[in-house]
Amino acid sequence: MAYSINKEKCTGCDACSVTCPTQAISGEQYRKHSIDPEVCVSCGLCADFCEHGAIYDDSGKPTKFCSWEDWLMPSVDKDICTGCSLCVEVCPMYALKISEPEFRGDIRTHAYLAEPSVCIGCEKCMKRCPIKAISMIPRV
Amino acid sequence: MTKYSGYMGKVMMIDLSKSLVTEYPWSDRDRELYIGGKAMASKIMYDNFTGEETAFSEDNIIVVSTGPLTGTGAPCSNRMNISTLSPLTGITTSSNCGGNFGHYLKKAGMDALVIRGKCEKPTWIEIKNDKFFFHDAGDLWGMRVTETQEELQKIMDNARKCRVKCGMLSIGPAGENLVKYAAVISGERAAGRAGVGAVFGSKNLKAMVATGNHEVPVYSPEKFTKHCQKWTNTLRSHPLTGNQLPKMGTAGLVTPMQVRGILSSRNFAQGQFDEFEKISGEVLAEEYNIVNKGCMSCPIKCTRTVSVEGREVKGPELETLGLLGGGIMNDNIELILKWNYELDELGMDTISAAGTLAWAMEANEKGLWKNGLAFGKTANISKTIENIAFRRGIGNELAEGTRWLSEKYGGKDFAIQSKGLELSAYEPRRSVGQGLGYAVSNRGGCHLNGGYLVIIENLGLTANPQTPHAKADLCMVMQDLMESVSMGGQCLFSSYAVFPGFLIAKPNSFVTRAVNKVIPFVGPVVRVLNKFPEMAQFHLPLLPHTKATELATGMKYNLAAFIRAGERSYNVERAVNAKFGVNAAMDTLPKRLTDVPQDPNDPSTKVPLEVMKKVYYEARGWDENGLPSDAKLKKLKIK
Repeated sequence: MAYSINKEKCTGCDACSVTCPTQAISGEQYRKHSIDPEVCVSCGLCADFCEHGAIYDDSGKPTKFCSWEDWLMPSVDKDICTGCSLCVEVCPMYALKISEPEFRGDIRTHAYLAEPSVCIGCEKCMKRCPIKAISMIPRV
Repeated sequence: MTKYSGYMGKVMMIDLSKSLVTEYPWSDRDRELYIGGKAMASKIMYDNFTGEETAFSEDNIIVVSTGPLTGTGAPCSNRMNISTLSPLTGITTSSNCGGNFGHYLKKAGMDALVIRGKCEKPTWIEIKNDKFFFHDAGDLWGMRVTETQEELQKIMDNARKCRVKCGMLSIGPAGENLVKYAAVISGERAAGRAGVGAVFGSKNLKAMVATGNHEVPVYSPEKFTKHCQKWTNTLRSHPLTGNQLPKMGTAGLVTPMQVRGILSSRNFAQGQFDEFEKISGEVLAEEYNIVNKGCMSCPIKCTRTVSVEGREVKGPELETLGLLGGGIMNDNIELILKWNYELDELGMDTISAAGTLAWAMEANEKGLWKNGLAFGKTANISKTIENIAFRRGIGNELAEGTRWLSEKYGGKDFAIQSKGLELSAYEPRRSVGQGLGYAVSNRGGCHLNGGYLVIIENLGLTANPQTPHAKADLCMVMQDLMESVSMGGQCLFSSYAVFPGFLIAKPNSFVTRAVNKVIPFVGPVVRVLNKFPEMAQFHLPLLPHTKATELATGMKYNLAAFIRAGERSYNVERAVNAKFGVNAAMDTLPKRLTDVPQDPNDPSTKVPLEVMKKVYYEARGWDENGLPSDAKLKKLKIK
């Protein structure tokens, strides 16, 4: 599944292609852009940046521009998280990490948002977590 | 395509000789019968092999397969299996690995790969969302594993102009030079045993990289999540998977094995190593472990990380500690950490390498082969390991493994191998059921394929380890259990929780002692239950695997189907082996383990193999030659 661009609405402003973390969007400036469905990971960052509503999500629905202040970010419940690193693997921005042990012999490591500034609130980590240890909270 | 979730619905056949990729026929009925992973690979080999093939011939196939749970996020489910004809044993082998390649293979849209033929020149294959690209690997040839993978990552990143998430398989110099026990490495995890890396090398296949953006579909996502939550809690509260393995990894077994007399030492001449404390899991955890790591989606995290030459690398497993420790009479754990790293980097199985070194040391001591190696002499080991990988000097002969060497120089009695595969670190003379497992195992002297009865006899429960009673039936059940767990795409440690926690946590309680006393008498009961698994049309709380598979795939699956699938898998693998001449005469152990008591004052401390083997064949429903009949194969729907 992948996001797509409605050619009629696209203005070729390049906002989506410069932000795409997997370089899935191509197109010359002021020309219609397109998304490579083989490479897109459906993070939705392009949709957040598109002021023209030209981006459609992987179920074919139109998306809306979303200012970064409104993006959510993940909060990991340390008591539930096992540190299995599925969220780390799925994060397109490399924003999550597994914690270091707090003392020698500490076996309870967990995921945490190591780079809040690069997190795009795509919710992929929350959706991927097999035991629902991640919830999305407003950006403070 | 498939009607079942959990699968991507495609098995691809790669013909390396023609650089051609086609879809391999794999139906939903096959999925119901063989689920995935190792069982699927065995069936594909059964259908393709005639018995004429050899490990390095072009018509040998490699099957890289995943299970339906791989990539779903179920606990311990990031496993893949690599099966092929082994150059070390000449029969089938399967090597299971927790690296990320399986996960990304499914993300690329396929469940398994069947690889045949041979590339003309060194090649690496890129798999990108159902598409295959064959690249020249001339520049990578000769590189060690980490260097290869880092280089491949750079190539992938440069092509896309961003960081690309992908899974890799690669061989090191050992695989390229056809060392008979070369491994295939994915990340830091090794599909180590029986020389799958050499088969990659013989096909000029240096590496494979998979990437893609498919999602693994789950049939009932909400119920599956709830089930995973419950299952994770079970694993985290179990004394083995929630405490011992996370705290000390598999290395934590060194001390209990010493106490029980099953820590192989001096090429299996002894069952204890005087200096065991220096190489124990406790020392590893307290002085060397940096952080616990694990395969992706694993809540147990048994992997140790240690510092070698300033790099944070994977630490040794129990088998490596035991065999490169007491096995060769070395008490320096830092050397083991270094050798373990070197072996991984060169792409070699640590168990077989250590077993071969130990045999060579004893052969030297006995004057059979003057090679400069000696028990307790550690100065030349590093160089010897490198010489094996590059087949220089004595390394060229050591690269052939223990069986070949003992046939050339003599010393078969102390060549600690079965069907050509070197035994793991568990000394079976004080764990006779494990001894039976080593002998009858489909891939040779393997502790896991052999049923891992050591957990019932010594390391979990402590049922009389010297009696042959019930061991044959238990061996069969445990083998089938592990087949079933493995074919779902899961780590075998996820099945540890099948032993109720209180039995492990309270070994001296009345209940535990009673269970230990009763086990030698459960043989007939186990056999009857195993004959009529149809009675078990339910899910067992101790085995969450069945429900997870059902919820992930939408397939009707329960304990009955789980037991039958395991039996089918073991039988089909045996049937493939039968094509290559395996029979009862090959289900053996070296005389050191069957004829020489570990304790000279206690004649029971040896493996009564023939007695147990006979009962084992009866339990399996095989003929006296140890082979499944046509009727048996038809009953199991294999034929």
